[in-house]
Amino acid sequence: MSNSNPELAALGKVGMMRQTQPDYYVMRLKAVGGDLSSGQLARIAEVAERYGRGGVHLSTRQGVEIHYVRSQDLEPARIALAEAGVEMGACGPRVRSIVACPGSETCRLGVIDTKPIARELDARYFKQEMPSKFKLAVTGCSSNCTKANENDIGVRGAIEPLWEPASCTDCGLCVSFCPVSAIGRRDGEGSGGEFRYESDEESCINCSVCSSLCPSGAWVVGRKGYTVLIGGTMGRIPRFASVLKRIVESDEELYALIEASIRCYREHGLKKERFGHMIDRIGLENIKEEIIEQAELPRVEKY
Amino acid sequence: MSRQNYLVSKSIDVRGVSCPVNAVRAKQAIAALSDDELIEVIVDAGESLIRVVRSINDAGFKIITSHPLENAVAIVVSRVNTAGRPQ
Repeated sequence: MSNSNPELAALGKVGMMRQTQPDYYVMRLKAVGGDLSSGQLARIAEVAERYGRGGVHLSTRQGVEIHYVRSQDLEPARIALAEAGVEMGACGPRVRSIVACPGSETCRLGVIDTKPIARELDARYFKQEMPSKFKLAVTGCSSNCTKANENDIGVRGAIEPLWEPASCTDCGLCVSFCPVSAIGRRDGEGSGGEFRYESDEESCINCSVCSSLCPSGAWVVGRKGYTVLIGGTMGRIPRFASVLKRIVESDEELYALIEASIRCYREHGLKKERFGHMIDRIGLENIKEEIIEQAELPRVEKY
Repeated sequence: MSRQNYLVSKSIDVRGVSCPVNAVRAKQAIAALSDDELIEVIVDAGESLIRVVRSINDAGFKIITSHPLENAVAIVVSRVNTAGRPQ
């Protein structure tokens, strides 16, 4: 934004919103995955002090907002923030800031490294125009701290457990600690006629409790990857996301599915219609089929 | 083949005790065992069970077997981890 006195209509595109109070504006700042350096925080504090009223508002999408900025101060404030590498957020029918939990880098429960994915999604899609607002979240495991199923696209770390009979001491604890009672013990059904433990694929939430808690290490991670969720929203008409694919093992497939989902929404989504409501209008199975088919096609474009 | 029974010499009931005190009490009781003793730890099912089991594993104690009770689980534990925990 080189214009020092930007048009009001254009403000939303760059993360600035009018307040209730005449001539006061909100500056919405971007923090991908909730990350800001101490230097950036110091600059935000300076700008809030100089151009706002010395306070900030922490948004629900891990961002920071500076309130009570006058219109003539928006551009100098933006420049001061940009100098410290603090970018403006997004408003309106666009891809919003990408939310992410700390993930496996620091969290003991994390199954996937969330931050690089959040940064990649930010680089690919942030601020792009969409039929309605569009939110993406990455969460490291089924604890779901960043609420992947409340976002238009959610990526959640997931494992598929595998039972290794040779290590099993038949302590039975897995049957008790599985949070969704997906694990059962079958007597006389093993290969040699002895016991067997199994996890029901349908009810398993791919959470890694069994593989991380099994006292004898008999439950191990069979497959590890991402659960991709589509169509979540917690707006006026809430809708939990639907599972597009339960375990995606490669980054390549992950990004192909997300790209195909976004293309599908751009093609079929009505103005102001959220992705999830579009899915309900057209039918989940049709949409899933289209997205998965599109994701499998080779793409000429290179990012 | 059915699950084995073990001779347990001690018992501690941490039902109704909130995290992390339930795990701390269980670990103290396990640490006080002799090498050939087994203790039964009775813990609430759900999140408490997960926290207590994680804590017992992390401390290097050995869970031998378990029995489901009503809304709770009895875990049989030894202090020494002779088998080790493959990971």
